[in-house]
Amino acid sequence: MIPQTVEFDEVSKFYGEVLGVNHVSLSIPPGITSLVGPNGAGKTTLMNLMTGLIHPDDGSIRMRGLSPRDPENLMRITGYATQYDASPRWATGFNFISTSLLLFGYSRAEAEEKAWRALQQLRLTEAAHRKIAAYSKGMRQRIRLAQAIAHEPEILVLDEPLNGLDPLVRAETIALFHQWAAQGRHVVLSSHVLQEVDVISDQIVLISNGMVVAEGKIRNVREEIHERPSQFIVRCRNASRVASVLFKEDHITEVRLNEDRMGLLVMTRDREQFSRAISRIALDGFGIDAVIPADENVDALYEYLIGEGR
Amino acid sequence: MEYRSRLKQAWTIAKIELGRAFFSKRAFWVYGLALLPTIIFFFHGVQMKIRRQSLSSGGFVQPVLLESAREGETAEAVIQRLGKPHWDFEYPRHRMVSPQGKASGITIHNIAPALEARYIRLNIRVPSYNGDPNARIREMEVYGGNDSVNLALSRPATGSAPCSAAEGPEKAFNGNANDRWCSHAVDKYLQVDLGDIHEIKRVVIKHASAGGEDEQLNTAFFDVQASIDNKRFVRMVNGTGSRFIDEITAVRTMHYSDGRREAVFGFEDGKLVSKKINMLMNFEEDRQIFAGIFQYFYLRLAIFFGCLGIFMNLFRGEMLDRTLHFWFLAPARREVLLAGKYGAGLIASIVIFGGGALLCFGVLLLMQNPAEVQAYWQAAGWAHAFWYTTAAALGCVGYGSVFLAAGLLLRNPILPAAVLLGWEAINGFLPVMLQKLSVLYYLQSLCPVPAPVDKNMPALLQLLLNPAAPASHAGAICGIIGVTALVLWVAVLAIRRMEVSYSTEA
Amino acid sequence: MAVYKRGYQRYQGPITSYWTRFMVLPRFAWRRMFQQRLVPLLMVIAMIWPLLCAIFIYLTNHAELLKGFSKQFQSFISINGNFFLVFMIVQADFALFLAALTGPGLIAPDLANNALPLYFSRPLRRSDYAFARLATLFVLISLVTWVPGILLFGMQVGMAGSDWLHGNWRLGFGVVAGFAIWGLLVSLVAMASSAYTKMKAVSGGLVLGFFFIMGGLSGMVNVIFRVTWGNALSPQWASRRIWCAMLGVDPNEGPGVAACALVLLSFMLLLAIVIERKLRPIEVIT
Repeated sequence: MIPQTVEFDEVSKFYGEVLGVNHVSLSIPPGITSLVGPNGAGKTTLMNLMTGLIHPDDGSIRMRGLSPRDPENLMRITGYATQYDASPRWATGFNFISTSLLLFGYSRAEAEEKAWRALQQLRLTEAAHRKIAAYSKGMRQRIRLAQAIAHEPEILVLDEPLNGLDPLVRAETIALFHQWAAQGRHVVLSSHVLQEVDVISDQIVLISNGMVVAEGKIRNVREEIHERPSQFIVRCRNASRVASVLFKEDHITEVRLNEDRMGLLVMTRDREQFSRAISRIALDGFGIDAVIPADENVDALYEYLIGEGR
Repeated sequence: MEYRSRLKQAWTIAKIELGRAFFSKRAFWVYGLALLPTIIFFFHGVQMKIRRQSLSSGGFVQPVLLESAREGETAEAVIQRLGKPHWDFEYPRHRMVSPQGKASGITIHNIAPALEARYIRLNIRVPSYNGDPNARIREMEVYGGNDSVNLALSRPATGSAPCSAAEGPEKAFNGNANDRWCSHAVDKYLQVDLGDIHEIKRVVIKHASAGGEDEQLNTAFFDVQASIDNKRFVRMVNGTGSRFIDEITAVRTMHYSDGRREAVFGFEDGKLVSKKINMLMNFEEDRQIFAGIFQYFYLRLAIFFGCLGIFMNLFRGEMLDRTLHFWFLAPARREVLLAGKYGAGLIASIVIFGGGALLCFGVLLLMQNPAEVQAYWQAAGWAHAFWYTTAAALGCVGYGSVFLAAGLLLRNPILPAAVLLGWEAINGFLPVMLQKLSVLYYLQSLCPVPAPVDKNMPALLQLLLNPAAPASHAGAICGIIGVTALVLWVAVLAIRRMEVSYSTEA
Repeated sequence: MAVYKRGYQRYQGPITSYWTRFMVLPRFAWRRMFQQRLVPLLMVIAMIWPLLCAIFIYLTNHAELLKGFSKQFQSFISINGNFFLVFMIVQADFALFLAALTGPGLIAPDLANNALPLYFSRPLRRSDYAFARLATLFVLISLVTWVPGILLFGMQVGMAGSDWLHGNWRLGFGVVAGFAIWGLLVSLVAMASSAYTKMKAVSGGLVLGFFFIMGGLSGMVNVIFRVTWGNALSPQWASRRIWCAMLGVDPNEGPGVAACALVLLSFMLLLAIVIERKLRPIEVIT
């Protein structure tokens, strides 16, 4: 049974005297996983370690059972879109992708067909026969993505893939990610735009200073953070009445009334008790329209876990 | 099974790289390097053919007559015997020469505009070139309007204290260069009273070597002053000793030909001084020249720098371009990548430089007399061609592996390249054991014709030159293959450990 | 409706002179160069030969120290054009290595890292930039070439007196002018190769390769055509011929000063063209 996870086992990497990543242990399931963290946290290092471009000083990495020291097998199922902007001077978009596909053992016709398909997926067909060096930034980003997906890999490692893309292409690319994740592939990407990370990802990995601060589904991570009261937005008709009821509970730390008098922002220390309290309130006849978690998003997690840590 | 697919992968990598190696704009200078000797040989051949055409139109002389010209014969006598030359050029040659022997001691100073004076005074500033403190003047002659009348001859003379009684100032004005005025006073001077005010146009001074003494004893620095009243003196001449005189010779060259050879006669002032008879096309000599060029230029410079460019680009160039990671992201073992790239570089360089060597050899043969070429080819020609090409190819193999490894291991691979160049350059002067530690030694062993020694090398260096006996062909080939294998093994270790981290330092 | 509050005032105070601004580039380049270990080391090694020459001058001018030697040896030593020629030949090689070591680091990194737009978005013209880089290299080379040469000349004048100077001022002029030509040529080669290849490592090799290959080419032409005019193609030989004429030394057989000067001039022109075409802040790719 081939393991279906990307495993890091106590991986450390030194750059001279600087610690790049520090005893990182991860187990990434299939789906879309976002690596989130400040600049210099180690996101690119982790990605380079995954694909064998650099070697760990300590620990081991397993990509679906394969080691990055075995590029012959690993690179067949892995595609990496780096952040390095350079590309060979001689290459047109189409040539670049079809030539690299030749190394996989495909015949020329097959390679060209796959290359063309990848270019179509990323809407680069018009510029396919121009030199990459003449592309705009967004097009260069897309050609790197195309190169990563052309051989239909099982594991996609994408370093800031949405960087420099205009909104339409952004949306299309995100749709692609969802498509691939639905097919059971690994999509590991890094990003700074936290709202998007919220929308795209199934899992997140929060990294700071080379160490993994949190890992898992967003909701699960949030649930584990007990030090901070959770925030919920409650939409109801009789907001002040509901507020007074809630105040009686001792796990509630703060309640704020919205200006339209139709909603509340509630901060609670204990989500379990809060959910029971809200159920009682609803059953008691107060009309509760909606209960929405207000900080089960990466922004909040980032701020709690990484922002405070400075 | 796996090996075959890996081989196929290496071949694919090689094919991709070859496209770049052969056709990128940067590759053209490598072609230029490889073709330089060919082009020059080609033009030489063309020039020779044109020469032969023009010579045949002028008429040939008997071969015996060509050799009959003797040194000292006049030009007219030669023309009378051999007929009109087909090339006759005369021009006056000016040469600044340092005069030898007696002539070196004479300085001639033209006074323009002419000065009127009665007293002529010679001041010695630096009495000799070698530090001797004595001033020595053999004769001083003063000329006015009449160029042949020495106004100072036997005139009353004064001067600083003489070295001895027989070397007084009057000795410089007695018309006899065998005696001299000598003085080692602190302030050395010599003065003559012309008796009357004359117009002075020329002063001739004969220093020590005009009387046969050592040239180093000539006056190094002096000046000549003139006065009307023996009170106020005007400087006429600044003398720095006789350095160079303008020697004018009438030089004439005449070319004759007997169909196979060309004679160049050089005449100076009408008399034959030099006679050079060249073969119009000297196959033997050309082969020697080819051997010399192959070893000194082609192997040491062309292949060296060409392989430097080609193989350095394979890894270090990609690293600087920041495109190396694309190769590492391909599904191929690192060793396969190395093999593919090395193979590409090898194929490109062997084709370019092996082909270049073969082409040059072919051009060389093409220009010669077909009968001679036929004989040569049947005897040893094909073997020579083979070994030259092999030497060029193996040079690419050896140097290529070294530069590939250097590009992988070192940040600035130019330093070891410079060191290697220097090492190869001084190879002939090293002890024999160390000489075997170079690629060039084995390559030279493979060359079929030993290269002529560089005539321009100073004699001192020629003495120190101590080339080891060349290795056998088999030994040389094994040597190069061995060195290459070792270097490639190091390269494999390096590439396995290699990490991609692009820094901004170019 | 937009209301613009004109509260922003440009800087009205004094600004530094043009040359101060010009010298910013060389100053920082020199600082960087001397931080590498090899550069000061090479410069120190390059001073060994001038030191030997200085000792030689001292010995020559104090003949009493040489009393013991044979007359022939004494006549062999004298400070004339030949002495300075040998001095120049050795120092020229050091200048070449220095240029090959430091020249590439001047322009290649700027081109490779796309830094030229940063320079030219300031009030710095392209010609200013090029001249600043040229000056950087030229001054460095001067420090190992005509500066020690002039010092040696001055030392000789000091010891031999103004009379010697009167007769031999040509030598001083020849040293300075000859080295100026060589320094200019070498700097231009280093800059051109640096601008052409954009890679520090390769361009250093290209500098050396240029001189070696041209030397080899001239040798080949000479030997194949059995002539001597091929020497004009070798920049070293051509420079040396010009030095001989300036110093008043008998030259070796070969092309004359005019031909050599013409060849050197055309080399410099070619190099200047390469620099002009390659030193652009943007690259248009079709």
